[in-house]
Amino acid sequence: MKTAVYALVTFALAMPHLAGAALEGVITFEKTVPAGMLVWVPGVTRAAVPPAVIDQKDKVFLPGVLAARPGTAVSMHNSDAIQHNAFASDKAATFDTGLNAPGSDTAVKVDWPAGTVVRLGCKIHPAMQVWIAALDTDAWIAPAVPAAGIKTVAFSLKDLPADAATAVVWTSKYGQVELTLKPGVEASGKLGPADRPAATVTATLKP
Amino acid sequence: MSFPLLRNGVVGVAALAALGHFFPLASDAPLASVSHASYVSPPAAGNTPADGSAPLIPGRIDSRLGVPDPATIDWPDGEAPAPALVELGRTLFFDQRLSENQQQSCATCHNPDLGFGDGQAKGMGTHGNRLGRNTPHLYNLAWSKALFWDGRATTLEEQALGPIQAKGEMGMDLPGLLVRLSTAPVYQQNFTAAFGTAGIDAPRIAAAIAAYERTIVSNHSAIDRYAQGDDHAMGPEARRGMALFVGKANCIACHSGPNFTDDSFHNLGLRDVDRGGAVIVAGALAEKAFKTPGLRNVALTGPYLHDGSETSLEGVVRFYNRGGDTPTPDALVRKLDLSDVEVADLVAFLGALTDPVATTRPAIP
Repeated sequence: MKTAVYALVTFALAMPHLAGAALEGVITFEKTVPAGMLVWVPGVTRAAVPPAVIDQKDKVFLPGVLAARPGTAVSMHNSDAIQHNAFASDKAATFDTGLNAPGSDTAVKVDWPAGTVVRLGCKIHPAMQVWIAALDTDAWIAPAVPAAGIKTVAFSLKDLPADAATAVVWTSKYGQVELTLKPGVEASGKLGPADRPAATVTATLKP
Repeated sequence: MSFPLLRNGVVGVAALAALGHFFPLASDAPLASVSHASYVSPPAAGNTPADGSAPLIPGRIDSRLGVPDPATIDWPDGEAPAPALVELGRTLFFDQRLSENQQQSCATCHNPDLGFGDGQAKGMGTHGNRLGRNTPHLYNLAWSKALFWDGRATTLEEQALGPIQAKGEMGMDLPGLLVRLSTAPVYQQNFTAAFGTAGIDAPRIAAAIAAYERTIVSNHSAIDRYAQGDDHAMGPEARRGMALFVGKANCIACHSGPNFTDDSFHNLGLRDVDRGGAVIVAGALAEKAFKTPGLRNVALTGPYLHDGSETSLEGVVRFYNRGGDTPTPDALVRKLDLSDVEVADLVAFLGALTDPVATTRPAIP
């Protein structure tokens, strides 16, 4: 009996997350497409979340943008045959891992506030950069940067609660915008300065 | 055409290289065939740069190299700056008000007639004092993520105010500079035109100078024309040199990408005691490590290396050929076993990276 009640409660708690709604959207840039983009819906918990891992490979951080829960650690592996470094010099976080030897693993603790995105660089290879967002949600996606000259970026977040109320679209260059969601209704917002927006975001929560 | 004179009355290599007399840019074609005007775009399609230059032909040059495409510049505001901002930056760049005793402008050391350098082994301050490092050139810094030899600045805006304020360099205090500029009505007008609102402050000065510096783009050299399909752009010496560059000599291990730099730092094994990047990041690899300079227009930017210890490109190649002068933890610096002919071929290839950037000296208000 107890087991059945637990199962029922668990199912009930999970209901919103099994609703299967999807957020479909497009970012249309007037200015250059930034190197980092992230879209998230706050407050979504999923049963299985892949570990947060960054690879330093071919003098590039892979992936270029990711999110992790505040207080957790992101594992950083150096797949190159050369030394790397990871540092942040940001209002929200300041740290330096020193020199990361080839093949080594380094843990980066996400100890900055939820909703904050921190840029990490490599002092040995200044062109390398990665953004880590501290998010109280498992529903996020980092859209890939399109080929040069393409100014539209589509994104899709699936398995969302049917009553998801907000979504946030963040970029590394133009700040972020919060969208108010209503099922089946297109939400829109602007990125960048109000007098000269860098991009327009449109998104629809689809049942 | 005037020839810039170096010390001792020697005609600058810049002028000679620009004419193609020093480097065999096109051994089997008349000089006119390598000019921009006479170049005919090849029929094959490839990656089309947005600056109007001809398409690239896949396979013409090593895939780790390329032709700089201004469409890929990471503009601070996400778009190319307004002409008024660039012109303001150009004026500031050439204005001696920016130095304490009003004897130096940015262009004194980054002289367009000397490859945006000064032609000297080490830089010189506004009081005639010798500085500690060679003056870096400014070509194609629009793409750079590391400024200064030790990489302590990551943007041109951040870099621009450094030498202006540095004691021993231009030695100018920013409040004093703002007063100087504000007393010139033309500057007040030009700042307003550039930024849309009145006001002269340090971030605006930096933004303007950086906007001008991002226009110093070289991407029509012989290798660019060769990459775009012009078989006559590079002679056999330069082509052999290119093969060595990406092969036996392995220069490309550091001098990669469209601007021939990995934007990273290396200890080359110089005798110089300068600790370089070690003051920026701890660790053995950073000790005496300096930024890899881009090689675009390298024939114009001597003397070479962070200490200016090599006066010619041949000297630089021979330095690498002997594996440096002191032990270094950087495994990329090793004896190369290049023959004299191969050294000459590499120098010829470096000459094929030449595309002088003309800049107009503005009237100073």
